[in-house]
Amino acid sequence: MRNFFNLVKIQFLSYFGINKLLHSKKRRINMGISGLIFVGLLFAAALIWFGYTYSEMFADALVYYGNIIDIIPIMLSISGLVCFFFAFYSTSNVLYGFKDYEMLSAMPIKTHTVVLAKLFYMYVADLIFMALISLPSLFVYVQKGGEADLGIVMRTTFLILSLPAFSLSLAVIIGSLVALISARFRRKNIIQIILLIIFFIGIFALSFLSGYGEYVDIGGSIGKIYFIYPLVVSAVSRTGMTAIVFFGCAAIVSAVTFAVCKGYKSMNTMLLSKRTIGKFRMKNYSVQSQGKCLFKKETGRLFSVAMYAVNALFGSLMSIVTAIVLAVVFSRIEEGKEVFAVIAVFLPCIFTFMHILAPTTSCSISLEGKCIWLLKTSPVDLNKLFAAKLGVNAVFNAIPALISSLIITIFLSLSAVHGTLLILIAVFAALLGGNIGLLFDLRFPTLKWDNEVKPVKQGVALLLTMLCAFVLTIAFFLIVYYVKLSTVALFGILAGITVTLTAVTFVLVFTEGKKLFSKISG
Amino acid sequence: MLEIKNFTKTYGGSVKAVDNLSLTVKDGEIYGFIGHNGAGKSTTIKAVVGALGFESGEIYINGISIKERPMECKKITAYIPDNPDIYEHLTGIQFLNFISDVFGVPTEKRNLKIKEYSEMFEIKDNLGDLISSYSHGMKQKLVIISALVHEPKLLVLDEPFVGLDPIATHKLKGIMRDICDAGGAIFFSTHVLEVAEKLCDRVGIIKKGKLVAEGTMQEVIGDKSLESTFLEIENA
Repeated sequence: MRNFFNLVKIQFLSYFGINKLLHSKKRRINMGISGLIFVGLLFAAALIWFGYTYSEMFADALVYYGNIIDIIPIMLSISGLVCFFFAFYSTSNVLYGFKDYEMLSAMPIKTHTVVLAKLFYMYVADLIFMALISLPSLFVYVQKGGEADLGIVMRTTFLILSLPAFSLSLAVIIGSLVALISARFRRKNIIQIILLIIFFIGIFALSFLSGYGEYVDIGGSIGKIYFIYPLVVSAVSRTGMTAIVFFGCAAIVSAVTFAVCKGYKSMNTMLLSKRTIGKFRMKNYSVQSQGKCLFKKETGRLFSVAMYAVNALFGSLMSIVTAIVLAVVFSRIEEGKEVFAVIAVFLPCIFTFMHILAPTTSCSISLEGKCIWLLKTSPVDLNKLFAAKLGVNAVFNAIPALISSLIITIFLSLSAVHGTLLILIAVFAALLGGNIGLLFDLRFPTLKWDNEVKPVKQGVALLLTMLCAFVLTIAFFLIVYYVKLSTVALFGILAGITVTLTAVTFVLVFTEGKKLFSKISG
Repeated sequence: MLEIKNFTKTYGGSVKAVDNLSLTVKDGEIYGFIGHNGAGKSTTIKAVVGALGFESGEIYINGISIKERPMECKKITAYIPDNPDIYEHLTGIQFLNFISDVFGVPTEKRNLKIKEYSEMFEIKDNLGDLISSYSHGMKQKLVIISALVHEPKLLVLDEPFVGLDPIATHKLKGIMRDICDAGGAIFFSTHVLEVAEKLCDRVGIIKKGKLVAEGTMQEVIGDKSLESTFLEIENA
């Protein structure tokens, strides 16, 4: 057990450079601890706010249909689904192919202890996320007149503890299969990304193409994507002991079974082993401009790690899927366009959130890692380097933003002004995300890492960028909610804010960003 | 070719990693930079190649200040670090083409140089493989080729022989001499004192950030070996 806890401790100390902050004697870094705690608290507050607002959004409809109790399983399932996705695409990086594997396997530590420590680490991260998102629903349930007995509180608490374990186990098993298939190919990263995207699109396509009635059943929709939703409903709203036992057992059994699975070692070896072919034939290689070769390098880096690609493309995919779903659903519903007009005012909030949340740039400097010396010692033009990094974000974030806002504009017959403003907001939000991500990553780069998980998922820059996405979304939401103007006027204000912020941050990248880059030492 | 004048680098505002260091590497010269771990060798080398800023002093490469005109200095310099940390998601040839593009090496020259050096270091057949599949030595060879492909005037190396097999080490020593014969210069750090003694025209010994001995090999060691001279200085 001592080994297990030591391994877990080591992993958590690497989170956001906590250990560095704890052990540094420098005043500037010590001040960073307070800053980090503050940002962490802000982020937690933003998640709680998100959980609360989301619950509130559904609550009135549920009260109307007399099943307010469903708000708890809905939020539990949504956060469980998010946990599943995060665990799913980080499986191959966190659980397999970690760079300290050789060192650990040479020590007198059992393999299943190492694996369990990794799983536990993923579980705690998911648990915190689930608690922050789901607990506000309990509050909303009571607020809307739900009966607050101890049983519901206890069952909800139990589910908050067990659901991340279930989601994690499920994700690890499926993620392992994806990793196993992709390991058989030379370009395993590309195969892994393709499989992940197919899986992601498949789930959403299946759920949304199965048809809608006039009343959009929220729980039913979630149930189509996440099959355990009915069990969660049963566990929360009734004394569904079967479901509770099922969750508890399934979570523990699948985690432990997996950890002690004999195939782990051979599978990990397969994922780690790389072979050279040695059949190269020289040909003539033409000269490329520095800007073009840097852009190619950045694009290659994006697809070199499945987790990075999926993380960065998640917002774009969600945006396009949301646009298609809205277009399909509201064009099918009678008087759908009129209904849509009521909710259309919130579209800037949705697009802003999706496209700023995880831009490709928020870890692009950090991912240089130990290779940063190449950029520092070569005659690389920083303007071209930054342009390449922002260019990749523009291609994979701003273009999807353009596509999704165009889909909405065309299929839901927005007016020319209305549509143009929506497109402006979406595209510039994506560009703004790129600028913000790059600036934060230049200021807080995570260059020392053994696994891409650290810069891609635990980087300070990513955390701050996500916080900006939350803050801007909340600000837009408040403007839309409280400022009583026409939709076009509101869109005009939001477009003005987005374009201005994009311009300011763009200038900052090419002025302050250069200074920040010169201060980075490898 | 390389002139370091009163170079001082302080970490955290108080700890002087390098203190008022001055040295010159002339055209056609191989300069060995020697010191124990933490003496300030890598700090000096990183400042020379523009990877590390510094507070006081000046570093000139071919008469150009690295502080004032870093891009011009970098265009004529090549750096080989102690660890071959390079983009593992690229293939060998993609990496060499990337470096060639960054340095603006024309098509004919790059094709010729890549072919010549990859055959010399016996990794030509593997250039189509992902770098992540390379051994440490193969990565080191690739970094060496990438440093040579743009024909630098100044070659800066930090522990270049670590991880290389004896044949590659021999070839690299030959290349270093060829660069100097062609009018270039080499500035490198090493712990392998026997190699330094045989290879270097001039040598500098750094201790606690200060240059404590410097000159031609003969001036520094006299009739002793470089190893005994170094140990004497370290124990003094």
